[in-house]
Amino acid sequence: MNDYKQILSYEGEITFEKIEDILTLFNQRMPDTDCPLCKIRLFSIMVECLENAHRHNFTPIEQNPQIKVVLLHNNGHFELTVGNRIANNDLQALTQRIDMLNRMSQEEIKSLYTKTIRQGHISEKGGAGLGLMKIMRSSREPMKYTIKTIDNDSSFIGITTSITDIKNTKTI
Amino acid sequence: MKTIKIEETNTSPYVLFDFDRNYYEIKGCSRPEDVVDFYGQLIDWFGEVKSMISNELKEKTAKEPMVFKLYYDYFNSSSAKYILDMIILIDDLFKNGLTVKIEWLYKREDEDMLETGQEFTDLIKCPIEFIAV
Repeated sequence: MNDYKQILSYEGEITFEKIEDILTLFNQRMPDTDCPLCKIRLFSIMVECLENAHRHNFTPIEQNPQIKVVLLHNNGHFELTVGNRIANNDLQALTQRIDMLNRMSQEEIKSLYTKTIRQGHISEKGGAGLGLMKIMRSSREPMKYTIKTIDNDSSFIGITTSITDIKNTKTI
Repeated sequence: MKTIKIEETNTSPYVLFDFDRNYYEIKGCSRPEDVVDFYGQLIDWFGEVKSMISNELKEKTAKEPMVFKLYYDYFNSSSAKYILDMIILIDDLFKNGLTVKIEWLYKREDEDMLETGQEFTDLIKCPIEFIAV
């Protein structure tokens, strides 16, 4: 972990406008890469993770939604962690979904994505149920998560997504 | 027939649906705060076109096809569902006798955007051309 360079970190309130600020920071700070597709995929992962953390944030009435974001880079490997408070009632469904996607092949995820997009509808929270699949299709690596219980109603979940600069690893 | 013109922002694309000039284009990034509202107006527009289908309009589009240029830099997963809905509505115009074509433009280095467009083609009959920019 010590070899990782921090590209950006943010801890604080999350709003639709703040997502825009974080993405602007991402575009400014992303190192030059020989692999534009890697940057495109990382941007896509970033958007979906931030929107999920905003959409599914458990916020007590007296507080504004908060998130933590850290993007690290080491030798062609990027690691993005986005954390937010989540209702304990929603936690199991989310982790089960991540576990399920982690067990699936890229082909299986693609097939599920196509099926969902054809049948899908936009939920009350504005999601189409496609976000995690889109992240997995972009990252092509399993997602990791850590959970810390806050109280009877909520926990903090940090979801880590990795992506490897394919130009650095591709055998030609 | 109402022309839809929406200026581009950091989170929503430029849209021009101009029936009188027979020019239809969407260009930019799509992750609007209210995706239902943004794409709802476009989806309603297709309903209007469909209600106007006549033999005269079929002959007109046979001479001057309706070409929908879709050039997305990026779209989020919530937009994806609506973009597919829109493509299915374009396909519906085609199935109802209008001469319609989709041009799916993408940045040359963005093979994921090409792949997304190709996945949509499996679901429609309307001709679609992929153009690397």
